[in-house]
Amino acid sequence: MLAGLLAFVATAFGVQHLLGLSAPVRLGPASALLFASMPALLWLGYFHSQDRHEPEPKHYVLGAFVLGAFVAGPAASFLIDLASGAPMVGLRLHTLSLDRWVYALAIVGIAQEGSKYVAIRYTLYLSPEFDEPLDGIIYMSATGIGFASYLSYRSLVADGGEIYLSAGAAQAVVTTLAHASFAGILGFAMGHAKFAGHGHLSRATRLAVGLIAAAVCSGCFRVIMDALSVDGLASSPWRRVAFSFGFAAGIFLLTSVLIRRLLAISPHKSEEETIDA
Amino acid sequence: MRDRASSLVQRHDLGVLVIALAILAGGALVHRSLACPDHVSYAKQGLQFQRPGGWLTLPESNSYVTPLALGTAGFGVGTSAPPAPNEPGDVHTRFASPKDARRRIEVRIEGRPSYSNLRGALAVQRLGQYGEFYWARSSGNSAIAGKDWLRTEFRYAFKPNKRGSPQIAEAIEYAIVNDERLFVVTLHDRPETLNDLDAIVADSLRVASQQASHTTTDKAPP
Repeated sequence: MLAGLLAFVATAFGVQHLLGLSAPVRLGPASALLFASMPALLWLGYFHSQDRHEPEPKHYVLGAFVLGAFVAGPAASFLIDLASGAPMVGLRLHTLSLDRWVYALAIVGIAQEGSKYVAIRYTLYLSPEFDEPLDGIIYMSATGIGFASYLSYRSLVADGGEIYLSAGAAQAVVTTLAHASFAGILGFAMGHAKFAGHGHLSRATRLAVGLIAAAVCSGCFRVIMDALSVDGLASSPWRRVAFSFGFAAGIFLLTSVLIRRLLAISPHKSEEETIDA
Repeated sequence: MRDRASSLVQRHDLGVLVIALAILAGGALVHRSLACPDHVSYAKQGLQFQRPGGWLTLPESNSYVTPLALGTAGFGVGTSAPPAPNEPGDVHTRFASPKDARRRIEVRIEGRPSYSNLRGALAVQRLGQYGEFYWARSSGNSAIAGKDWLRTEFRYAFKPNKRGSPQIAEAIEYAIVNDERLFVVTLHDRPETLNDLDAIVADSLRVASQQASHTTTDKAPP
């Protein structure tokens, strides 16, 4: 899967240089959809493959992806537009100004992660298939990947769908990884909350902490990425990609550690070991 | 009943949603107070109004042709601009949003047009500025702080850049003749946000009263 993602970026890079495309390329809706969904499907395969002991049904994982793309994505956009207020309200020019932090953390972060949370909490979370803590990460990551596809598609079709192929491909891969990882943190909290068994208050506290932690990651990602993507009056897409990759990779490593911890204590692992014995 | 409600809240962890919505609402309020632009006053030759702070003051221009119209090169718009105002004391100032150059306020102060029909004179000027891609939506007198301003809403087409598709911009023009001087304040914006800009500027529009305004006697062109 990871090789496929690298191949996707390398192909875009190769096409751009072989065809000598120095200007942005215009993508139609169909090609933008393909461009946004390619890295998403590869990441989906990667995260699903991490569920080794008892892989979740593929149609459930796909369902989580669809919920992220078609429910959480539009819902978050609606909430952000609603909370951003009157059109006269605009962000200040300084890329690290306080209003940008408030906007990124309390509005964008909470709206995005809250929408992903609602999409899973009131559907697959209630399903009998959600039967171990690891499932929280698997389903939420799938939702995050669907959500990132929605964002990538929207950004590709905005401004006439013009992008630099190589930077656009790398950004789509990294954005997908980032949203899958943020959702993975929230998924960890959801899995933990469902199976920890310490009462309603404890469960709600874990869920709220998970949601806020994911929102903080998402907000920081946005602010710092925006701050690094401009250099004076010039735009630096590769600087943005490089930073987003570093940040997303850090959160991804954290999610991977959480996955390993949950795999080690998975109830299905002990079942397998019992059967093997 | 109360137990059932409490059980529902607990079973579905509705408290988490309440916390999330509270953060979102609080964030929205704080963000509005931080990001809402402060208004600053514009005052020149008796003309006063409030405008959003932080906007860029574009260089004084001798030409009536807006950058938007110049962006339509190839469409022929702007090529038939009327002669530049050269009289001493004439003002042509433009303020533009640093985030969206389509959001602009244009101020023109000059001698009253020799053509007695103000509405007609302004219509001719707009035609010269925006060419065939301009059309007026409505025009009428608007009483602001005891003065009758001629308020005209119009639209025009422009291209944001050479490769861009033609787009429609909307504008509202306020004009008045006072002390033999013509004061014209034009607000340019996207259709969806023009009313917000209008609310800031129009409510604060003032012109020093030394002689009676002349706009009420003007007649619409045929």
